[in-house]
Amino acid sequence: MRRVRCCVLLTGLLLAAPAMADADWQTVQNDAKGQTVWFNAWGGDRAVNRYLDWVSGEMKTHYAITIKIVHLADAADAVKRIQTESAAGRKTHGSVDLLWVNGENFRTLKEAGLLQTGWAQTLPNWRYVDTDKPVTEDFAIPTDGAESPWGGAQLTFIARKQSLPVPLSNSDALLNYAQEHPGKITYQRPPDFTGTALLEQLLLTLTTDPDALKVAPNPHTFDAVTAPLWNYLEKLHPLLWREGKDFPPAPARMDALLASGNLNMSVTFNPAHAQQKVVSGELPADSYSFGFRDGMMGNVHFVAIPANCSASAGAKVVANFLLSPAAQIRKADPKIWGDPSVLNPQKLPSKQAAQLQQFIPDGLPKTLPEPHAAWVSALEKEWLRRYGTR
Amino acid sequence: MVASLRHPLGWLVWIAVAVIYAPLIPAAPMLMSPAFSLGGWQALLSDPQLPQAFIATLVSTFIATAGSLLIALCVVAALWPGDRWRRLHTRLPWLLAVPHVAFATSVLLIFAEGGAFYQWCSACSPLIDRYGMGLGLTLAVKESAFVLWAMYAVLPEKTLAQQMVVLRTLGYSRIQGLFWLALPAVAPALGAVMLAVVAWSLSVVDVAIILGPGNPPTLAVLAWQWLSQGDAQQQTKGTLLCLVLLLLLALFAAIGFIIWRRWHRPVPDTSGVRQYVGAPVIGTTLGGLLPLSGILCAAALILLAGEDGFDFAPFRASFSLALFSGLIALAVILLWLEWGSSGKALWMWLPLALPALPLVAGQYRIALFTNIDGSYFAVLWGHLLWVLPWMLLVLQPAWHRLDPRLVLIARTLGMRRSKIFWRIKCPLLIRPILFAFATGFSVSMAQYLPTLWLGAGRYATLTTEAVALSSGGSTAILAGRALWLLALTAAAFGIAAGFSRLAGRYRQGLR
Repeated sequence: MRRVRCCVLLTGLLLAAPAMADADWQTVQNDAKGQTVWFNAWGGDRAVNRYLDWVSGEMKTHYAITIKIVHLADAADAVKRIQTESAAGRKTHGSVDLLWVNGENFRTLKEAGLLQTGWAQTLPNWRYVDTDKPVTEDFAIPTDGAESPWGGAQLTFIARKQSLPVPLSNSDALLNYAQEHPGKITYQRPPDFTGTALLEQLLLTLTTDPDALKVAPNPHTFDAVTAPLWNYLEKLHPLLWREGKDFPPAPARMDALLASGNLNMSVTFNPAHAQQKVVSGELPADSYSFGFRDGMMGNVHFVAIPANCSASAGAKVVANFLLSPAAQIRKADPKIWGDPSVLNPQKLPSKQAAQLQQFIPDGLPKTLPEPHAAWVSALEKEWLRRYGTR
Repeated sequence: MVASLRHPLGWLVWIAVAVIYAPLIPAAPMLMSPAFSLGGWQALLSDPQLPQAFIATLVSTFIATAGSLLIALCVVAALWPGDRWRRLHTRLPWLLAVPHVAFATSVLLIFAEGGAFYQWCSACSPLIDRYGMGLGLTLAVKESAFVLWAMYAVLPEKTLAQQMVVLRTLGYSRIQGLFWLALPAVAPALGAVMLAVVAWSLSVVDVAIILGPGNPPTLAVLAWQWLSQGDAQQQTKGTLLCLVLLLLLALFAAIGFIIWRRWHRPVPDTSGVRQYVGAPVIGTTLGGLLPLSGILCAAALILLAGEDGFDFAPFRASFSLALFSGLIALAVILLWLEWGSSGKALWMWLPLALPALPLVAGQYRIALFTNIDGSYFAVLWGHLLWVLPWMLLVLQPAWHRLDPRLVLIARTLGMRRSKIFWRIKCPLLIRPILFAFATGFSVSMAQYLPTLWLGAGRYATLTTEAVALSSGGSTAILAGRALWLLALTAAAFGIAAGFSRLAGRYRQGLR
């Protein structure tokens, strides 16, 4: 532990050096001293909570900033609170300083003008960010510097060596496997986040018109673009768990069914999920993760600062620390959290690059960009119309 | 109202109640404005999930309501009056204190596909439950404990038990005794309790996600899904669905009232026929099984709970909020019943029936306006909006059943109103008061949204931590957190039951 702390301190100093040059950033850091930052974050994972406790400790020791973590069941709880504050005319001294957010919630806040913009790229640690990843757009909506990337995620399948020894390489292989093992495959019921993501993944790989997915769905071409997906599901659904008449409500339920042997496959949005759950004993030891050969859909999650926040400078310093190589390497360690980093190892000093590299699993499928945010509700609506009542 | 304001305490209590219920005013337009949007109704009614979800909701609510009433009546018929009835009362907290989510989780772990039951009985195969029957049955078992507990608080032991003994010695059966003596005596209180059970079963979200039908889910889950989406149209649909649920509640209440009116005879049947019923096996078994199921559930949680660090701050916050909101609500309710109330104030029950989200949003607006958001006081105030009606639900029927002759005698002896209140009425109500306090305590413990919003995230309680952690779906964590909630709630109910027995020992007639 002491060695880690020492290492973090050294990295902190190392990072501080170039930042010194930047007078603006110096001002921000001075303003941030002694501030209390209320960081509202999803609190559904003990590993994440422990990591955030570590971040709090580091910020207190090295930056004299107090972080208070507000554990949320859903980021939407904080989004609604910020909306209510704005409606009540609370332009300053809001209750949220930093918010873990992406996708629909980000779109809601940004379109209502409730976020500070143009700060993310000014963070000193932005120079390490892997700009090949979709770090400047969130579900195809430009971030305009209103949120700073924090971690990556990718749709991933989980299976057991015993029941599914060879990874399925594409959607046809999935269909064949379902034919051979009827009732052993399913996915989460949309509007569950992961279930909808699987629909998007299948649409991305099946559609004949991939360019149509980069913009909001056009009602005139929606049927033509999505026809291959529905044809595929018509074939797949009778082969699913409970003949596709019922679907598990949440990823955790699918994991439990995989562990009890009722299913042969589970779906998750965190590539390190299988590894973590094997360690915690919730999944059997022979569980492994895989993706389609041509790539799996992935995205980036961010931290954002509301326009009415009470500790803007402090929130920026925290966001910058979250991007620092030390914090990102620690986050990528599956023993600690296992969340994929948003940094590019090639931009890091060689020692840190090697440290980060060891946590990037080999053979991870290519990351496919997400369709435009409006596809989520369009696909959910059509899915519910077709299969929402059985 | 005019009469009640003649007394200074009347003023005080009216102001207190107004402060607690003020959020209803900003919440009303939020709830009502979508009701006039034709497009919203069209969107809701054209949703393909609606018919099936509607049926599942009706079926599960009906099973939960009728089942809990049936179980409770069976137990009352078998055990009341007597020592075993009192013993049951002290054991009921074992089931009452189990949080609904924890109870549902243990049922799921035992009876779900791949669960313990099917591993043990490999020939049995799980049924696909499209109509929410499993959900209904689980709620029926859990709610029957609440119904029994409420009946215990209002069944007057002294007078009625003597009549029951006479009836039994005349050769009438326990069932006849139940219908002629016990039910008419507890009917008003039972009606209110059953209404709460209906409202709760209709609107329950967390348990329905765990045990309810999946494709489509129940109406309450649909409403919750829509309300938690950013999209304005979906939110309108969610709000409208909440109104539909409110109408359903009214429908259930009306049907229940009609059935009661049709069935109830002011003068019992005088034909003199003695029904013969055998030994009350079912009721006795149920009376034994109910507390046992609570213990089983706690045991399942202990087995499942992973290593879990204990944090003192959320524990302390939960405890102090529950304690103070229970005490404040108790004081307000007693003063309200004595000096404030006039006629039937139906609006006081609204928080039990309305969806929580608009009410919390209304509270938060007021808190932002008055600049009290993020303070301890604001959270306490927020909890009271739910704690108060739940406690009133328990206390009001008991208050109205106070023997007016005692008050008359006291007044002829020259006692002042305040002295009658303090020396006659409160001691007579000690048992309902204790029960109401335990109920209020557990209601306050369970608040998630008001704590998070009004406290602006500054006050972590056991429940906010548990809800946030359970969103990750790990059963070990869920079980660990549920155990702490269970321990605190069980302590509150257990202490209430203990004091109630103690009061019974010193004041025989109260038992």
